Parts: sequence; C-alpha cells; structure tokens
Amino acid sequence: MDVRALINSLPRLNSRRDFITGYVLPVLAAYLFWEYSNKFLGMSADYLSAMARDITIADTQMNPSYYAMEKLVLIVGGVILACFLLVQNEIPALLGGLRRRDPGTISECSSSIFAIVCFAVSYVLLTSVLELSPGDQIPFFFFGGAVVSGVLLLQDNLSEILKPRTLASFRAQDNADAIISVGSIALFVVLTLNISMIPAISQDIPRFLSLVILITTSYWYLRISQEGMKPSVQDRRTAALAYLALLPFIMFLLLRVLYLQHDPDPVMQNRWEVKFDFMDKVNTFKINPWPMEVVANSDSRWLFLKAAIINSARVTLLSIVLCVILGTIVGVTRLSSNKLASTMATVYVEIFRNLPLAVLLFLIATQYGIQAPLFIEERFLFGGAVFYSNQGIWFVTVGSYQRLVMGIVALALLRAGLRHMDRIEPRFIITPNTPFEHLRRPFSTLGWRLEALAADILLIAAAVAFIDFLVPFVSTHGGGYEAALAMALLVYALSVTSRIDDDGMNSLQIDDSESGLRKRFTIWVAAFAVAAGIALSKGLSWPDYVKDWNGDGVIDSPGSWDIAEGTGFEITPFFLAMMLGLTLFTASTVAEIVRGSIQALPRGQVEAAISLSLNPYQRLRLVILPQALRSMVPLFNNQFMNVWKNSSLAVIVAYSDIFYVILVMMNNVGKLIPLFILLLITYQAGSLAISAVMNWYNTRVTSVKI
Amino acid sequence: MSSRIIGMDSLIELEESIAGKPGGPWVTPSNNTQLSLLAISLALACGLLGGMWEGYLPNGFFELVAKAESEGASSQYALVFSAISALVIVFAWWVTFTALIKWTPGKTRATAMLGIATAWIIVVAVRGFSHFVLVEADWDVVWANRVLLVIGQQMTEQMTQAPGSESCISTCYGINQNWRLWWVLYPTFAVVASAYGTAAEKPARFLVPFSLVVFGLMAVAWTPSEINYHREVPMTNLAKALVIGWLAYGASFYYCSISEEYKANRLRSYIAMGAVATFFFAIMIMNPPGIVKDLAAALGGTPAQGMREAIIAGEVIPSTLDKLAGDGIEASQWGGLFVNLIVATAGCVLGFGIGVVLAFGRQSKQPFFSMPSIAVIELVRSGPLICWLWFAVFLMPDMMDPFYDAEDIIRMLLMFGIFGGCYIAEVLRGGLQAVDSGQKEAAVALGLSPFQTKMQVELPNAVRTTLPSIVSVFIGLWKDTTLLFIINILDFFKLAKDLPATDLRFLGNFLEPLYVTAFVFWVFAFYLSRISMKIEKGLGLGIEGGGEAA
Repeated sequence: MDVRALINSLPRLNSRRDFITGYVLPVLAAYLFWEYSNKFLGMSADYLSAMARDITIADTQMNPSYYAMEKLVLIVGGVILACFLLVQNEIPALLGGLRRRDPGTISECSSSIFAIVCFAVSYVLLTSVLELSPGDQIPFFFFGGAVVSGVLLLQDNLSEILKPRTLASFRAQDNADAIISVGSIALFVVLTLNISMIPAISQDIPRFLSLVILITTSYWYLRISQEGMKPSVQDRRTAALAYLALLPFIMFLLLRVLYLQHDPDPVMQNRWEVKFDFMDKVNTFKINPWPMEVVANSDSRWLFLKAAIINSARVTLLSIVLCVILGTIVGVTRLSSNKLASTMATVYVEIFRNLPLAVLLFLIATQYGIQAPLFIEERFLFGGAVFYSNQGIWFVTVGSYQRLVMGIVALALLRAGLRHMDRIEPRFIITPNTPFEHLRRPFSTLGWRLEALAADILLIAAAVAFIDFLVPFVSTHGGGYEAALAMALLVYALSVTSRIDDDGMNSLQIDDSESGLRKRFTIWVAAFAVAAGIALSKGLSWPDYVKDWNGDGVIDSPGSWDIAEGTGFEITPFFLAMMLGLTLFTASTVAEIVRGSIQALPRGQVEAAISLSLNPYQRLRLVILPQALRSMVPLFNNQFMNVWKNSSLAVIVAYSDIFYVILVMMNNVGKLIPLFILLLITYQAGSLAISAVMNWYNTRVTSVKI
Repeated sequence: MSSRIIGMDSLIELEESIAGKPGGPWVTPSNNTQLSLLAISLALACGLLGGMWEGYLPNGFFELVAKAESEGASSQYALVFSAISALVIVFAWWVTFTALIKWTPGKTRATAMLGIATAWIIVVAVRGFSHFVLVEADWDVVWANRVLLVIGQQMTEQMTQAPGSESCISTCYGINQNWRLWWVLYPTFAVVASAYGTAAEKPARFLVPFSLVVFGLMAVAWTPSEINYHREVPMTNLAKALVIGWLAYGASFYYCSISEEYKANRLRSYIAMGAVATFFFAIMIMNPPGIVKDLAAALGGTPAQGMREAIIAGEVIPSTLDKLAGDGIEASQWGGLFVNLIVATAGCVLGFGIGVVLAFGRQSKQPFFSMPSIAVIELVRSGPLICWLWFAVFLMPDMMDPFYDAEDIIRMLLMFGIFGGCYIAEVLRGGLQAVDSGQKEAAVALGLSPFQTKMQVELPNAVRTTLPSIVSVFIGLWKDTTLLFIINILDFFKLAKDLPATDLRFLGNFLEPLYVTAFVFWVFAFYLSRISMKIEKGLGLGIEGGGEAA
C-alpha cells in the first residue's frame, strides 16, 4: 500500500462535523479502548500469575491462591475454546455430521476441530511437557492464545488453509491472509517459548497484547464497515470482532471469580468458595415454620431450608388460589352493567395495582398489629369458634384431619359414580396399539364404560396416596422418596385421565332438565351432609384458651396465657399479612387479565348465548369463562411466578421464608456465593414447577380447537 | 316534574344501571320519577332521622360531629368527617331503596343485590378511611419531616444554611450543596414540559395541572411550620422551574404547530435524548467527577469547602464556579424521594439501553451473542429483585472493586438498570419478532447496514408496538424502588417507616407515614399508568371487540 492510497483512505473533511466523526471520535475511542484493555488485561495477568505460582515447601502449598495447572488450563483454556466455538458456530453442523457419520463434515468444520485439537495439545503440553514460568509465560500463553484465536476468527480462513489442495498450490502473493494466519500462530508459539528473551514484551505483556488487539480490531472494524461481504460472513466477523474487543473483560470476569475462590483473604475465600458442606452442620437460629418443626442447634441447615421452602410454598399456593378467586370476581364485576359495582371494582384495581407491594405488606402488618386486640384481651368470635389477637388467629377445626380427607374422598367417589352413570358410548373408540399408548391407557381392556371409571378411581386413589405421603414429608425430616413416588403416581393418574379425555372416551350426557337438576341437587346435598358427618365424626377442635397451666385452679400470670397446643387452627400474623398482601396485590392484576380476556372475546359469542336464553350466570360459566380461560392461562402463569418471587418480600413482615432464612444463614456463616446459588436455584425451581403445571393446564384448556 | 335538571341525567343513568329501565311489575314510565323521588326521600329520612349508620344516635348528624370531636378531631375535621359519612350513608340508603322499589326484570336480581352490597361496602370503606384520615390520624409526623422525606437526612442538615446567607438558621453543618437539586429540577421540568408540548393537545390541559402542581409544592415549602431553611430559596427556585417549564412547553408546542410531522418526530427523539442526558447530568452534578471540579477550578473557582468559615460568617458569597469547584454530595448522602426517583430513572434509562442490547443479542443468529444474552436474561429473571439488590450490595463489590469502587447507591442504579434491562429485553423481543419482515427487506434494499437496520428500522417499530408494556415495566421498577430499604438505603419508604422511631416527638405514630408513603408512590405510579394508557390510545393499539359479562 503506497502513501497516496493511505491518504486517500482517510476520511474527507467537508465540515467540522466530519472532523469530529472522522478523527476526534475514532481517536477518543481508540484511547478509551486502550485504557480499558490495558487495565483489565493487566489485572487479569496479575491474577493469573498469582494463581499459577507454585510454592511448594515440604509438600505443602504455600501459595493460598494456587490452582493446579490442569485445572487452570481446563477452565481458562476451556472458556477461550468455548468462545472460539461459539463464534465459529459450527458445533451444530459438526454434531449433525457425526450423527450421520458423514466424513465430509470434518473438512467442513475443520476450524472447530483444529481449535479442539489445539486445546488438547496445549493441555498435554502445559501439564506434562512444558514448564512455563508463571510470571510472564503463562499470562502470555493464555491471553496471547486468546488473541490469536480472535485473529484467526477474523481472518476466517482456517478451513481454507487446512485443505490439502491449498497447500499444494500455495503461492505467497495470492495468499497474504493465509500467511498472516499461519504467521500469527507461529509467532505466538515462538514468543511463548522465548518471551523472557524479549524484555520489551515480557516486562508488560498486557500492554503488548492490548496493542495487538487495538490494531487488529481497528483494522477489521474499518474493513468490515467498508467491505461488502456476505451477510453470514459479516455476522461471523462482527461476532469475532466483539469477542476480541470483549476479551479483556471476559478474561477479567473469569479470572477474578477464580481468584476470589482462592483469595488469600480467608473472609473473601469463605464468601466465594462453592462448597456446600456447611449446610450439613447444625443451624443456630430459630425460625417459625409450619407444619414442619425444626429445632435450632440440633437440625441441619438443609432441614431449615426445607422448612423455609415449605413456608414460602404454602403462602404462595394459598395466595394463588385466593387471588384467582378474588381477581375473577373483581374482573367480572368491572364488566358489570351495574355502574356502581363496576366503578368500585375499577377503584379497587387502580388502588392496588399502583401500590408498591413492600409498602402494602408493611402497612397490613402494622395496621393489623395496631388494630387487633392484645392476646390477654381474650377476644372470641362466633361463640368461641375464632380467637383473634395480635399474636395470631385461631380457628375451630375438625378433630381429625384423616376424617376430613375421608369425607372429601367420599364426595369424590360420588362424583366418579355420577359421571359413570351419565357416561354414554363414545362415537369412536380409539384402542391403543403401541406399548407406550398402552401405558397411557392401562385400563383399555375393560371397555369404554369401566375404563373411564377405573381411571377416575385411580386418580382418587393417587390423590389420597399423595396426601398421605405429603403430610409426613412436609411435617417431618424425611419422607422425600415416598412423597416423590406418590407425586409420580399422581402425575401418572392425571396423564391417564387426560389421555382418556383426549381420546374422547368421556362423553357425558348430563340431564339438564328441571327434574334432573333437582335430583342432582338432592343427591349432592345429601352427599355433603354425609361427608360433613364423616369429617366431623371425631368432633371439633376448639381453640382452648388456657390460663391455668398447672391445673391448680389458680389463674397464672397473664404472660403465660396461651392457646393449648394442638387445639384450633393457628394462623400467625406474619402469614396473614403475607397472604393478604400477596392476594390483594395480585388480584388487581388478575382482575385486569380476566377483564381483558373477556373483552377480547368476539361479541357474537355473548349474543349467541343470550339468544339461547342462557341466564347471565350460565353465560358466564358456560360460554364466556371457558373461552376467556384460553387467553388467561398463559398470563396467569406469569402472575403466579410473580407471586412466587414476591413471596421473598416476607422478610418485611418477619415471615420465615426462603430469602429470610438464607439471608440469616449468610450473616451467620458468611458463605455468600453458595447460599446465593441455592437461593437462585430454589426460586428458579419453583418458577419452573409453576410454569410446568400451568403449561400442562394450558394444553388441557386449549386441547379443544375453536 | 322535568328530569332535565343538571346532573339528573347521570343520576338516572346510574339508577337504571342498578335497577333497570322502567317496566315490569309496578314501575312504568309515568310513575318512574315519583318512585325515584320516593326512594330519595326515604333515603334522606333513613339517613338523617333514623340516625346514621350506627343507628343508635338519635340526633344523627350532630351526634356524629360531637363523637368525632370527643375522639380528638378538630372541629372542622369533625364536621368534614360527619358530612362525608352522612353523604355516603344517604347514598347507600338511596341505592338500597332504589334497588328495592324500582327493580325491574330488565336487570337480574343479582345485579340489584350487587348494587346494594357495593353501596354498603362503600359506606364501610369511606367511613373507615375518612375516620382514620380526619379523626384518628395525626399528620404532624409527616408534615414536620416533609423535607427529610424528600431529600434525606444529610441534605436536610445541609439545608440549615442557605447559600450565601447572612447566618445559619439553627446550627451550621457545612456548605449548603442543595442548589444541585435545583439544577436537576430545571432540566427535568424542561424535558417533561417540552415532551407534553409535542403531544398536540390543548395547552391548558398541560399548563393548568402543571402550574397547580408547582404551586402546591410552593405552598408546601412556604408553610412556616417546622422549617429549617430560608423560605425564599425554594420559592424563587420553584418559580424559576415553573417559568422554565412554561417556556419549554411553549417552545415545543409552537415548533410542533408550525412544523411538519417529521420535524415534530425529530423533536420528540431529541427530547428523549434530552431525558437520557438529564439523567446523566443529574448524577454528574450531584457528585461531580474530579475533571469537572478541576475545570471549574481552572476557570477561577475556589472550592467552597475551603472558605467554610467565611461563608458561614456571611463574609463570602460563593459564586457558581466556586460551588462547582467544591465537592459534591456523595451518593451515600442521598436520601428520600430523590433516591427513589433517581434509581427508578436509572432503571428506565440504563434498563432501556441494556434491554435493547440484550434483545438484539437474543435475536441474533450468532451464538456468541445469543447464548450469553439468553443466559443473562434468564438468570436475572429467575431470582426476585431483592436477591439481586442483595447481590449488588455484597457480591458486586467483590467483582467490581478492582476497577471501580462504587458506592451503594451507584451500584443500586446499575442493578436496577440490569434488572429492568432483562425485563425490557423480553418485552422488546416480542416487538422485534412482530416487526414486519417487509420492513427489514426494504431496509436492506435501501442499502442500510445491519446496524442501521436494527437501530433505525427494527427498534423503532418494536418500541412503537411495545411501548405500553415498557411503561408498565417502568411502573414496576418505580414501585420496586421501595425495596431499597431492605439493604439500608435511606429512601422515602425507609425514612417514613422509621419516623416514629427517629423523631421522638411522634413516638407511636406508625400508620400515618406509611399511608403517606403509599399515597406518594401510588400517585406517581398512577400518573405513569395514565400516560401508558394515553400512549396506547394514541398508537391505536387498544383491544378490539368486547363482551358484557354480567
């Protein structure tokens, strides 16, 4: 390139603006990049040298931040390799080719394979052949290697070079790019081995590498912006350019994290070391869990975490149920033709939608604490059925929960029986053929009538088993496997029933005439009476307010007054505040979703329902809500996940949820990163569980095409 | 009797929505009005003669007033409270009687019952709330600490000395730096006002509420109770800000009215850039970096902190350059509503930038861009915000300290930016996917580079369709700034909820500051949501169709 061409390639100056965009900004950008690259590469080089330095005296490692060379190459080199492969973007093709056993793939993806081979070779070399000095050779090896990989990516001619054809017909003047690529690799190898010979570089490796990066990036930036290349090539080159520009930062992040895990400062090391053995040790603070009892100073931290997860989960689940109920009521009321009611519903939505949840929770907790009577005031409602105070609310409850479950099972069996009687022969009977289909329809040999009944009964049995095993799981320390098995059974039973539904085996003919309705009504009333009888057969458990604990007839001091253990059903103020706050807050959004989904229905649906002379309640239940549900469910999914995440605000009202428990553990043991990872995993797992359930429900809702 | 009386129409409409149009057993168009009057008179009778809600108060209204006064309300408040209660009770009786007397089969019984139930719920709610506001509550706790709640402890203490004043009001703590707040306020008002100027509405619809708000602020600042500052300072500055707002509005309104559409659009984008610049200017002016201070010193300013004694004694009045040359207000000293505002703005401004980058990254076909973007978005979205705030306080410094020793609040700004960015990225992604491919092809055909296509074709299209959702993310961020208290940043909520414990004159007044906090946050969020609705309407993105449910 002669001088004139160089001058011609400079930006022309027609105005002051050209001067700024053409000269000032590039120079400024180059300067900033230079500073940034130097700083981050410099810090990274320091960390790398510190971590690679092996000071073994009498078989003990004296360097606290030491990493074995194998680990270092694997992690740092692995990240560089991963970046290279990502930019090269050949892995899907390579995997596909390997699956097809197509030998052509190897030549197609030769650059990726070359990179992997280079990585393997350098792993072997560094761990067993070469002894590089940690001060200059190792930083130069890693960072220089990263830079060379960036240069090769930009050149994008590795696969060309690796073709045997090119080697045969090689002519230097045609293949300047190839010479640059091969030359940079060779230069890198030579420099790595002999870097101490060249003090100009080895004194300040980051500066040298920054210079290389700066020159490469600016050259390629100009070339990419001026040259018309194929979009795919240009995309890849842009990615390579971004990789090279971000390289100092990526290296810094990686090495800083590695360094922090072996930080010479024990506090820092304690924070960042990812080991979970401390969770097996006993926990030292008290929490307020239900139904699981965990004891401070004797139970492990895992158990405390489990109790906290149960705490979070129960408040989330209850709030989800309540907010759907309240939100649907409010949302439908907003559409009411009664102006007063719809205005009030709007006011509700606007108030709670625009309130910060944190303030709302704190307000509820404070208001409740001030408003509710003191414990010693003995306030009962409904003849002793409810005791309320600022220490909590106690409700009357059934004497035995087993009987309650039995009552519910009786109702469920009745429903299964009624469905059985209403069932009519389906128009087409689909019979399963493959083993998998048989697995989904295990009772298909029983014939259409009995099959559906058997599936219903299986579902009830699975639900009972699930409850039966869930209770020990949530209230004692063990029981995890049994609960998981029961859960699997329940999922299986659900899949069986839904399969039967999908195959159209559940066609019901419900007698909707006046007499039929009356009959059903009578049956259900009787059934409820029987179920209530079963549930209450062990009597009720009233909240028992005890003032005389030793039974000597003398009232003890008010400080010891309490509700007797095991009587009544207690709701703590923390739980109440959380539940109310989450419900009120989320219901406002749910109401908007319900309203929006209903309004989005075609008007003709409602008109058709009116012309069928359905009454408003029937319109809502049979026409509007089932259709609106289709657009509501995905939005509900988001809201439910929000409830789950918002339950972390429990720390405001001193409710022992996951975040609170982990926060206190962090303060106690200082293991910040492991606990933080646990925290994220827990919340993510909960979110995934919610969206799995909601996606399943969504497919059920949308299975009928309209 | 004519029903053409003003206000009667809406009343009849309400009546019809509760009880239905005339028709049915006994209500006919001829006796309709008589029945309405009957309902009204019965309601009045029940409300006034039969005692109020309590029922056992023989003298009705006056008994209520006396009762409220005995509970500690001042006489005006007691009167207002009683009037409100009487009104809602009469209203509820009216609804009840209307529903009972005038119910027609045109409406279902459920609708009528819903009306009655709602009316009595309103009674309970309004009476309970107004009883709290007017009778029980003692608002002095908030009133006395209003400056503290807006700008926080440190800046309030600095305010005890006005700039260049003759003397301190109580004790001198240092050089007053609060002029910086006014410098933030001016451009903010200018940006907001000029943004309204481009909206092509009647000027009164902006100018009147805007002026009223500023006058309200002036009134709050002027009220002499419990002030520790020279009243002229906020007065003159608010007046200046008001004039700046008027001028900015007038200028942009005039420009938009005489220019073509594309020029107005260009102005809008300049205003958006101005808003972003205002945010960075605010951070810069509150705590200027060394280079600004050096520049001011080089231009002839003497750092004001050096002349502290002289300034307090009133001998020297520091010039603007002197003030600029001095130290700013460190981020750790910010507090009150100002922190909430600046953190929420950071969430919006930085968040939008990060969101755009992540959204395009996620859209990219290059795994080097898409995979890290997906990882960051999903990682950040997997945890609740307080996890990440906590991360920003304890773990971010470990990572950042070697190159940037940021203060807590600055890290909060960053974290809100990242958190908001991930949510905005998800919103934008939907918009980007919805961009018509013809638009992109046209851009390619015009010879735009990929970067230009993204920034000038895809992004504006995506933003246009997703703007309401983006605003609702902003509302969420604004509300989430209340979480700052968990990590001990003295934001509005933290200060307000600690007032009963910190201001010993008001021990035990727990509820009043909380209600004020709720109100303040609600007002801002409500305002933003109205803006969002306006945008939605302006873009014509409203939901079509609609069915009446019940």
